[in-house]
Amino acid sequence: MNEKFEEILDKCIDSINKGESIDECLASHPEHAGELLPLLKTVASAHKATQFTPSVEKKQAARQQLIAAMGGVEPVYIEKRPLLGQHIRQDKGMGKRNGNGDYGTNSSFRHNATA
Amino acid sequence: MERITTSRSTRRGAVDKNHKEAMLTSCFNQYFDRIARYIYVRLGDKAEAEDLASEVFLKAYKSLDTFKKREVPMQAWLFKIAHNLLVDHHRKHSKMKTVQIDDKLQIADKSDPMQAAMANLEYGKVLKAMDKLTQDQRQVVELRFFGGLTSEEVGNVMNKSNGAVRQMQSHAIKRLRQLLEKK
Repeated sequence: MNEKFEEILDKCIDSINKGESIDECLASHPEHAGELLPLLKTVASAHKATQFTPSVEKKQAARQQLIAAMGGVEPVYIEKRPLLGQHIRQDKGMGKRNGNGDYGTNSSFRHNATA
Repeated sequence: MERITTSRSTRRGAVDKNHKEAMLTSCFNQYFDRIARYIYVRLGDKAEAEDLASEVFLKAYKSLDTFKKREVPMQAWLFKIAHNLLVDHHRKHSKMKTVQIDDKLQIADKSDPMQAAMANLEYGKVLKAMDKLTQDQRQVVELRFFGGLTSEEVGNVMNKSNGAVRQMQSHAIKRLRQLLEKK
């Protein structure tokens, strides 16, 4: 089994993991369909035989435990803000202003910094 | 000046912590089921798998300071924790390798008893076949098929290259095929 075939098989397993059917995988690689079919059938039957979804109650309890460990408040993502020194250094590097009299990519930072 | 530096690093630390906590809760939503399934295939016990999956996230939270997102994706790190917990569980109970497959079959919560029996049979067959794989092949199959990780993420968990994972994967599938086709 060569490296290229292993890569194709790998792509097909990615597709199956994402819910694609075996037929769809084979259609994407018709030149290897004969070799792929029995292997993908094995993957699909192993998938099917070991299906298990935890109960909603248990999952909810586990989530509550995790949030409780975090202090009882669900974390909200805070965007990282460059420090003032970094801002000045970036501005120096940018050099030219764009047509709006702004430094282009740094404008979003400025908005954050004054917010 | 020293006070400003301290305040900056404190703020940076707080943002980092908040960022990692948000990542962890997001991973919980996305990977709890897969981690529970990964554990279930090893233990064959649904309730234990659910409890251990919950423990994975609590343990991850306690070790959040050690997580470096540039080195490994968080989901791969979580599966590493799950693997280590399974090893600990095995040490404590020393029966993981000799799971009494027939005693542990629990898919009998389907409404059709015939269908449940068939499902149990298939599950048992797959577990028995998995036991015949090498330890590395088995781990690749578990992380890739049941954990749903990409081969790169599996490589992160197992400290192997992407190519090595792909090679083990194709050997494992061929071997599984032979074993599952045996009557």
